[in-house]
Amino acid sequence: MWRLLTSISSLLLLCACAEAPETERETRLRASALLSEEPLAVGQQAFTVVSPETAVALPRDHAPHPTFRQEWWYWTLVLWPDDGLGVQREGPAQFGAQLVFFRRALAPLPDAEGWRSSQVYMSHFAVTHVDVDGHRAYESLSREVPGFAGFMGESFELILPGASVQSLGEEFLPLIIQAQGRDVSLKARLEQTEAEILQGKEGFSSKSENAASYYYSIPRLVVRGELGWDDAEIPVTGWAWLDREWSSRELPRGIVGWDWMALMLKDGSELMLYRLVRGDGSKDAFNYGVLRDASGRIRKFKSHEFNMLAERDVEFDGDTFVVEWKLVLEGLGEYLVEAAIDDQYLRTSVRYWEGLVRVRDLGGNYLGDGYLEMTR
Amino acid sequence: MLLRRALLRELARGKWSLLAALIGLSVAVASVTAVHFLNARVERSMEQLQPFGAPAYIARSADGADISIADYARLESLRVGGEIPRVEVIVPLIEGELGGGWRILGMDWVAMRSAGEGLEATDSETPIDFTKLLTTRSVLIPESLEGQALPEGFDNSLIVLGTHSGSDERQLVADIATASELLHQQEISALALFLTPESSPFLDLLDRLFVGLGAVRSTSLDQDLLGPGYVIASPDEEFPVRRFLSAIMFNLGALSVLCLLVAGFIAYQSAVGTAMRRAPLLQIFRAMGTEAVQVSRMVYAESAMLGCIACLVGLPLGLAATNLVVRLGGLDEAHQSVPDNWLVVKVLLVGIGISLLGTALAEAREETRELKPWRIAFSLLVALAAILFGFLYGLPGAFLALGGMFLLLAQIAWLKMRWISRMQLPDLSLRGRQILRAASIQALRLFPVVSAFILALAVALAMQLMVSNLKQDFDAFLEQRLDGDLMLDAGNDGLSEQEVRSIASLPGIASIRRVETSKARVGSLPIQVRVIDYSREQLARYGAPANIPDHAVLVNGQLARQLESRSAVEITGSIGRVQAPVAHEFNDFGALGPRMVVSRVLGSRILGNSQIESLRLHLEPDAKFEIRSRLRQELDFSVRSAEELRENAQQALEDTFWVSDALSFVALAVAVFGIITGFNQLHLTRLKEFRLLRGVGMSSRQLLILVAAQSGTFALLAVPFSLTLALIMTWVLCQHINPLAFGFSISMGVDWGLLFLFTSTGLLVAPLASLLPWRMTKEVSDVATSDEYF
Repeated sequence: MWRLLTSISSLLLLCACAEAPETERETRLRASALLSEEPLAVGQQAFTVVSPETAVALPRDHAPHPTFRQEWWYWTLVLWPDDGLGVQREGPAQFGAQLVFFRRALAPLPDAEGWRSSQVYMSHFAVTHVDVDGHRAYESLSREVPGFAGFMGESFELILPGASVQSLGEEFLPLIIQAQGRDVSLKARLEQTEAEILQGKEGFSSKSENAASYYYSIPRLVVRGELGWDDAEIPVTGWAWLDREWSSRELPRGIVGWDWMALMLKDGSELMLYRLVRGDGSKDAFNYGVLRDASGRIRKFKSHEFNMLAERDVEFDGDTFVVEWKLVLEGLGEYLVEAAIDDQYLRTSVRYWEGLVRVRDLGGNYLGDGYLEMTR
Repeated sequence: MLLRRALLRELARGKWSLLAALIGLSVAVASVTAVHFLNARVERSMEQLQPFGAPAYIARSADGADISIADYARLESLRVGGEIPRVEVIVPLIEGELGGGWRILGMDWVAMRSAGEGLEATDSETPIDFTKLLTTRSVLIPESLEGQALPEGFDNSLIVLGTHSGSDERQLVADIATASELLHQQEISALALFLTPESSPFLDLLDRLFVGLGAVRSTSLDQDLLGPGYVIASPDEEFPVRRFLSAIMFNLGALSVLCLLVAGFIAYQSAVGTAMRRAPLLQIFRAMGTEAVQVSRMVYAESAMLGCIACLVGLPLGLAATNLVVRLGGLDEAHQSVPDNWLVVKVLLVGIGISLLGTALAEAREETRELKPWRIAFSLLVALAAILFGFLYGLPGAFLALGGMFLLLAQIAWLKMRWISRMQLPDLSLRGRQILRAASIQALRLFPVVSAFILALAVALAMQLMVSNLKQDFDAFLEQRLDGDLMLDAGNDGLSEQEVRSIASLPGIASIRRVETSKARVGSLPIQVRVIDYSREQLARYGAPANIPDHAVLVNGQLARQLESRSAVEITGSIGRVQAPVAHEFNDFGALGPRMVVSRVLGSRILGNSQIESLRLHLEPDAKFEIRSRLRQELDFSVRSAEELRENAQQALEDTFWVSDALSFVALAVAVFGIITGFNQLHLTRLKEFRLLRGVGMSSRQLLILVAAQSGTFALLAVPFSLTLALIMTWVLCQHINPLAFGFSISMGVDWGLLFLFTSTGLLVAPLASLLPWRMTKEVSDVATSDEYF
């Protein structure tokens, strides 16, 4: 035991000595930095590159892609207390939740297993409780170890300590998501009601001339479950949005972050928009959006066809995040998007703002709910 | 306006007393500044020594088996669900032998990342690229092993970072993936537990004000926290380096509190002096019809003004003194001392806050000339609150309680003297009563000066004694652990008798001491037992007398504190049980938990064959290099030079000790200035008496001798109290506070040289204060011409 303790202390002492004591360490990762690194190669092996020649194929692509550098499964939920009246509501959502599984390969060695695995999984679980003005976020991180963390089983199953997603049958959906943090928990069943939306060109989503990802979404999944907040167990119902994206290099140089929103409106339509935030403040040519109306018709927006205008912002960790937006959509009009509460900043190792938002028209009438994500 | 001008003019006319007050206040501020910067330097030094990410606990399977992934997953789920309170991160470890004398320790760097340590660094200037550690076959090795042939499979693309004073055994530290691959092992050897720091606004504030004082927080973790089947080892019991550093930090923090207290006294003395000297003038103003509020406002404004000047002078003075000390000490000058908000708080507190407080007290004293019951009630309240804090916050609270009690005692002493001076004494003659009353009035006047003298000298001496004892113990610790010319570690399996014989037969070896250890129990308490020959030399290493019989045992402080009876213990070993008398309690500075030393005779009766853990080799002159290479190359043992280890350890802590020396120096300087300022203020209040004496024909030389003799007499009376108080403070810190906080006591040695130095300082410095009244009355020949007659 002594040997072990001495070794650990020696090691850390050694690290401490190498650290410049005066310099305050940068204690957070930037999402944009993570996604803009050059693909790492080990020996002859390299990460697979996203190509327009290969289309997204479902259900195959619900599963992980270990030969790519990174990917995520992104569930955002807008929720109401379940009083047995069904999902569709007239008033704004009272709860929001997000459960995300990130996968990142340390090296292009997809076959390594157990502790030697190069696949690292991270989950972010956050809940917004509008009535108490509360937002709580939790993180879990591990390399892929069978029975402990990562992608498991023959049917779809992702696990990490404190978070899991498991298909209920052989199909991807319906599935159960479960997550737990201190004083917060969520267990919900998600069922598909609408078809997937392949973003970009058949799922090939360009972020610049030479950077892209595979990207598809499944909006308006019906949610039924239970949300735990402190000692209260609240039956909830609502809608969920799944975003799936994977790539080996996504963001081009000059991009310092992105603003993304996925909105589900009362009239049955869904809108997703994102803009890439350029360091020089200029508008990026690869901003993108998609609208599916209540009849199922899809319209995709190019960068010049919409504008996301900042109305009000807040600051966290020295970065500015817009919590009130005006959306100007060509041919559709203008909408207001505002955060349900201002502080939905995730103080996890990768820090960003993500949370429940409301959609209103310019007259202030409630139109729907959704989720907004902003990284810097 | 006229009144204010008159007061200011009066203040300016008493240039000597004004200067004395300003010097006193400035010195107080400067000393606070110097202590603050020196403490900050200690903190920085400690940060470099303290393993910043060392786990709080290590958990192993109770049956010694490896831990399964399923068990790890279960514990992680409990942790994430908040069911293992205070455990922030659990990091799995895989360790084992690689062959060829090499070991590997694999830590899951990915899990470490969420501990918020190091791994988050994305700044390209940060020298540690932790992501490289995640690459298979990347390892960390101590610099001392750089250049050595590594086990097969490792190339030169190793990451070697810095240097350290820890073990230089042949151990590679790598990511768990590397260890898993090399050892063909998926199961986990142990779990490192990182705790969430305890949050307490009060303790955080203490840490801000006094470095290290708030650091003593509960670190206990319930053994049953992880459920049955795990053994949790606490570094508080098994990690001497960490405890040693905490102890230094805490003791320095405590001493800086005392230093601040003395600085406060100086400031108080200075403020009281300026206010009291002009008391007659103020009373005349009052008699002329000026409102008390108006006079008070002006006096307070002056005090604040003096405080501001003292801050402006004291701050750069303290900064310059610190830089001078740093320069003289040859310490790293790259880190500039930059004032921060907390320094400003402390400086304002001492410079202006205490000036105003002193003025307020002086005014109250002048007006009432008696001790009001509310003061006693207030002191009592402070003491009770402090005791409550003591219960709530442990040692930092105890320090506050100490301060509160001191305040209470001071008030009671004051009250008692007032009572003596007023009481009716029918049995005494008029003359006797007058003498007693006069004496008590004089004592009242002297009380603040003498108590400041006592406290200043005592604090400075206590600091010196603490540092001196700490150093001696550290040397003793090294001596106890690092004897011999070479240390030969046997690893987990121990050494066989045959191996020992073969080593003993090597040419150049003068003698060998075997370090044999075994495990036993005292009651239900597991202990480590060291078996030694009860020779004079060996016993002396534990500070024990030479005539201890073979059936008696030596116990360390940690074990002694857990024994029901300190006279005898029942020891249960692997082959027998015995009731043995405790012959000696040895100071086990940095102990690895409860330990006992038994004779070889007793050991063979209860322990069976104990394991030869390591050897201490005493060599013939000039044989070290040859022996070392032979042991390494031919016998494949890990060999360390005691001399090198000692040098490394001492070097690592030298800066810290140097800074603590500097702190002691500052305390001594504060004491000297405190004494001079205190006496000066006292003499200044007696100025009219001195002028009268000059007026009636006493020569300035006679006056100088008179005042110096009086000061010397006061000092002579106060020095024994100072020494006693210093010894009590040192004793409390060494023998009670340290064991409470860290589980070991520091030896309480008395350095006679230090006592002599401080006695002489006290006796020589006090008469120096007579120079000021002598200088001020030198030119006076007639009392009527005095411009400071009031």
